[in-house]
Amino acid sequence: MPSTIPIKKALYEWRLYLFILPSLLMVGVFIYLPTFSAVYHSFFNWRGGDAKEYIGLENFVHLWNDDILWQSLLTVTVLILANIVKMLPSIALAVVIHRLTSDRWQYWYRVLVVVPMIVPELVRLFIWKFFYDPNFGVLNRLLDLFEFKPLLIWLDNHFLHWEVFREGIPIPWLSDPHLIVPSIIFWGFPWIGAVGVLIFLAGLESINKEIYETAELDGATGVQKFLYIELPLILTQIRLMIILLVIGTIQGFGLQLLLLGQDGGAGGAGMVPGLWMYNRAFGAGQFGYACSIGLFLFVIILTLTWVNNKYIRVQK
Amino acid sequence: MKREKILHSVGFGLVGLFYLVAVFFVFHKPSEQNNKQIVIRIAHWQLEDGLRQAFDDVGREFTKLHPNVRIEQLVIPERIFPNWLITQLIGETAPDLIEIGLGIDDDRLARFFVPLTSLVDEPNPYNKGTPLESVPWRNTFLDGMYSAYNPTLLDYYSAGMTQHTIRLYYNSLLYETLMGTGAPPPRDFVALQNVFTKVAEYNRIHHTQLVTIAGSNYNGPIIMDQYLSSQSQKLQLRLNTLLDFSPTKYGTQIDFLLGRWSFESPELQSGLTLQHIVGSNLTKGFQSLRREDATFYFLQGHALMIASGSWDVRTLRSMASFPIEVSPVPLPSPQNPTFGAYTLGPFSETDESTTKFGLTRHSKHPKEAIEFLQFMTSQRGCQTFVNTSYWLPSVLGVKIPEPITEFAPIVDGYTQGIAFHNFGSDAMLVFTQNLYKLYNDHDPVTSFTQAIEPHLKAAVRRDLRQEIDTRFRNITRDDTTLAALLWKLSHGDNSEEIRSKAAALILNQHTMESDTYCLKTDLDSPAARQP
Repeated sequence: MPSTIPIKKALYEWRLYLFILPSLLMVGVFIYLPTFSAVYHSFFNWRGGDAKEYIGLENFVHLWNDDILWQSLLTVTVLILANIVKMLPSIALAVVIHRLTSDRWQYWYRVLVVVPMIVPELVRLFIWKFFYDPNFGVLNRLLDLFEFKPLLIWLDNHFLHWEVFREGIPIPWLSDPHLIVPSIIFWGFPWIGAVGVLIFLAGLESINKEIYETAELDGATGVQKFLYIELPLILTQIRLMIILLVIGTIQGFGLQLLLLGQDGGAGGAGMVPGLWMYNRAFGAGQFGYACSIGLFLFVIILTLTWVNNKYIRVQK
Repeated sequence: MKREKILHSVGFGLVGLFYLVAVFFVFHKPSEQNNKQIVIRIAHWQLEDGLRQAFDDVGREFTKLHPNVRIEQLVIPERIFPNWLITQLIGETAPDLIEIGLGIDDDRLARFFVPLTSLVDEPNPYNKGTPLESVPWRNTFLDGMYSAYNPTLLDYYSAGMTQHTIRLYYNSLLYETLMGTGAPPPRDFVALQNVFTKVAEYNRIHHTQLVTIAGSNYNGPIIMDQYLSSQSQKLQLRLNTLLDFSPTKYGTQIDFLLGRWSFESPELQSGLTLQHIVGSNLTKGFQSLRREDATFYFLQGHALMIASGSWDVRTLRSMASFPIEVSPVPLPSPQNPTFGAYTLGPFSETDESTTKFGLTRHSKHPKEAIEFLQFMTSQRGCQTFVNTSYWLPSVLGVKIPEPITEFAPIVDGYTQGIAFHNFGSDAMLVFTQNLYKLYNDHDPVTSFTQAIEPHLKAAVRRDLRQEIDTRFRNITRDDTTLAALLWKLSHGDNSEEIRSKAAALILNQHTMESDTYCLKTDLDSPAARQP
């Protein structure tokens, strides 16, 4: 039972509280003030600056009838599901590194995982953009070199019927609505995130060695060890990663903005809610409406986080 | 242990040293406070070769005349300029003079910029000693400051230093390889189609992927809009019932809502067909490429041509390893058997000013900023600028530098027709999201037209509603000023200046109001509300 501290005792060294004041002030000004301002302005027809007109819930009614927003939510749902799948290589790599018997090799593999982190995101982005270039990009050249293109053409003719894979015509990865979402999903292959690997490794290393020894005595195979020991015991890390991933995917739009522009590319296929919020604010000057989209996204993220916490149970 | 101590000392020593150096530079940085010099900040997005030097040259010339004033330029990349600008304006930290164009609509112009109307009828003091000495400022420009006037707000808000023309740049070595030695550049659309054929042949024979015209989401619309526009010249004339040859984009949009034209009109269908033909010869997937990608393709010899403005001449010629020639965009002539029926002929390249700067309301030194703006647009200032930048001048009597004479505007020609840029932001969204259909092979024009049709009218209506809201807000914004002027008049201040200011403001408000009600009446009419 935690005991309460009397106020007099809590304030005995009151000067110490002054040390946290600057941080509190910063957090208040740069995090909470903009957040409250966004909530406040979502009830206004606001085009930036001091000129605004109170319109009650009109922005939210507009939001409810906004087809582009709902379409973008569908796109972001696909991206979230894809990103969850894209977490698997990181888990697999973390398990492989964890199981290495040589400490020296473990160390070097960790270094190899971390080294790409020093490459600026922008550089990575431009490399990938060039990778997708329809005329001179690496992807189309590889497809031609290994003669995968005829296979794509066959798939397109018989199953997909997208009419985008054609002989003698470069594949426009980022300018055809059918290919935009697959291209974004494929982005960053083989999807090994350094932060993810390190977090999973931290979780794996907290597993007691005796559990492995007992499992080996019982004759557990490598796969069984993963399914019955490692996976359940790193669920805390997986849950954390899923929360971060969901928040990041719903809020994020930088990749789409840089690759496709603020209109979301051909057919608006790459439009995600964050990009639509940006488009409305900076493209159409509807800052009030953009704030209401932001508030709506906040509610979605909060709900998904709650669902995640409630339904992904951690086995202690 | 000793080694570790030495390393620690070196580390801390370096940190301390750099800190001291930083402190030294901060305290020795020239500022307004320590040398009493006024700093005028100007912001623009011109990152082309020679532009920053050109602005520096003009600034230095000005400082020679006014030693107490220093000019500081902020160069913000084009891609982020609108967003940067909005945050600066809203945050009241904007520079004194800002280039007008990107990210500034009528609403922002009225809210954040100072009208220059009271100055345009006075001579520019920096033209003293030149033939323009006693000429009103507005008449010293080639366009008579037409482009600086905002017909919605009924005020002048900027003054421009340059002009631009659009040209097709081509790699002349490659062109001769393809078309034969001494072959002239394509003069009309038939000749351009011949180039398309030759490039396709070349690719087939040599197994190459040479692109005829390097395209991007920046360079593409520059050329594509011209083709759509060329086919709707006669239509635009028919729509121009006032016969003033200057149809507004709002008029074009209202005509669209009233059903006076549509994208199914034969003129527009013909324009879209042309766009499809030309677009198919641009870099594949150009809609997702950026300006620098197109420039890279061209400079690397992967593309024969690139469409851009005179603003790129210095950059392209300085970076290319091959000779570059230019030619006007080859449009269909009226004699063209397929595309001649709806066109009048080549466009008259207007002499509209560009690189226009406006004075922000939060400028700390408005007097000096105006003086610098006048200096930039004087004969001396403009000549200094164009001599370094190789851009076309907008001021009368300023000589076009030798390397860019071929870019001089060709004024003989006809008015432009309808293009995508005649529409507002929501309608543009409909176009850009569906443009990919126009570059498909399967019934491109019909599929594009059918794709935009269900959404376009609603989008145009939303754009016009927003425009009307903005106009009403701008009208009411002037109420405070007008009330103050009327209060002064009613309390005995009957000076000529106050009376003329009040009269001008009342006239402005009435004209703006009547224009806006006309627009509103058209928009609310049953015909315009048809789905």
